[in-house]
Amino acid sequence: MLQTVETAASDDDLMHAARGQGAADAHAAFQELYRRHAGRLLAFLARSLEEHEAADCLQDVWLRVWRKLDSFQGGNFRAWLFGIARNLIIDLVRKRRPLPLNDVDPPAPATGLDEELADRRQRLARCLENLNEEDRTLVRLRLEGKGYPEIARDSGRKTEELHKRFHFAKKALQDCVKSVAP
Amino acid sequence: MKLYALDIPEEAAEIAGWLERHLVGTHLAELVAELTAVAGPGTSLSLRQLLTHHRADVLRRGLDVLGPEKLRLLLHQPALLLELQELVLTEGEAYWDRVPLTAEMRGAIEQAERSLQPSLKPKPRQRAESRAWFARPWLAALASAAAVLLVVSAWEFWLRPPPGAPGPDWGWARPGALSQEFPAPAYLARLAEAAAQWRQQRPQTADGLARRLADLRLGCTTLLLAEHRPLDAKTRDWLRERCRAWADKLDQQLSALEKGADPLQVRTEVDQIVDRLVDALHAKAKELQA
Repeated sequence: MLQTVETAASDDDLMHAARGQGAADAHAAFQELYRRHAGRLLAFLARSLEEHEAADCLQDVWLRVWRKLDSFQGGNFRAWLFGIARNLIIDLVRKRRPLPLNDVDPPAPATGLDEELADRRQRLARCLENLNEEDRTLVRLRLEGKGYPEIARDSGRKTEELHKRFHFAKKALQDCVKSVAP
Repeated sequence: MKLYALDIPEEAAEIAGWLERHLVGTHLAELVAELTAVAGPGTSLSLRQLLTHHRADVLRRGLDVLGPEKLRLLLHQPALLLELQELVLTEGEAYWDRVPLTAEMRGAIEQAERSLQPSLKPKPRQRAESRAWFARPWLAALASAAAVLLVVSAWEFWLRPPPGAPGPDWGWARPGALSQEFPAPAYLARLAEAAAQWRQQRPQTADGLARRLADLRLGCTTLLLAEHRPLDAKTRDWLRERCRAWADKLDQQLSALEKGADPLQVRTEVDQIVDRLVDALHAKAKELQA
């Protein structure tokens, strides 16, 4: 296992250590950078990529970081890391959907994630239409952050009843989105 | 399809924490899509207008500082959550590192870390010192060409099986594994099943595992070069793109094995790669079926 490093060290210090001569120290410093930033990086990648791609890409980004250690000029490590990630995402999306050569300023290509999200939005919108109006309103109010006591006060219904209705509406929506066509 | 928005906490006091977990998570885009389906895209309030003087506090102390009314505005105008996510991921202070990640994310992070280990050698500095010759493009090109020639020659003269010699009897390289006679979803499902045959043998020695891994890797090449007539162009591109990524990962494992890594550890890594690619193929098959 890799050695531990001083966790209070700055990212700059760790990058310096990761470029150093001692293999064990370099690996430990790199591991600490990974431990600090991998979570946010994965969330960042998942903004643009499907889940399995984001997980694959996480490893690829860190591999590039390892190979590019010498090109880090100091400053904000996270910004540099996310810059590498952004370039990798662009490469991936371009490879998947080659841009037409004759477009001077082509639009950003849609990703598989874009399609999945549009599908999710359409399915849920359709399934909401299947609910009766009162249940639809209840779902809308709950997703606006309103609690049962507040909704009960405004609607004249009992909290327990609203609770039950939301539970059934949730189940109906979960079942519906699995079966309905977008 | 799991719906994330319907898990909104009942207590208003818990909504800030719930949103924070989504902001550092991998399913915020799905949550935003669902909230948009329910509430519509919302008004044209900007994130700056919503945060006003709370921006620094949010970065330092999280969403509680916003209060319930502003949190409701975020839910009512869900696209702002994506902007807020970019802000906290890039500029959020230590508070945001303490927001718990899902087990799924922790698993992916640990898996990526394990997979990285074999690739972290040699150290970049050592590479940099011996880099002078291959920093010259013409020499690098010449060396690459020579290496390719050497590999091809070795394949032709020493390694290539004689005509008629049997290839792997499992996986994608098995004769007939890529039969083009099936509709796209069934074709992809068959590819998934062929890959899943990886687990039918469990070699424990480096030598046995290397042979099995080489069969799997050869299957990747077969897949990359195949026509995939049942698939449309988009799905074909997707498959080849994924296949290149899988091939890279398998190469890394083969390289680790050759450098003396524990065969059982390598086998576990390959198991995970195969599981993921089988899942990806099944998911794509299902998507085409829908």
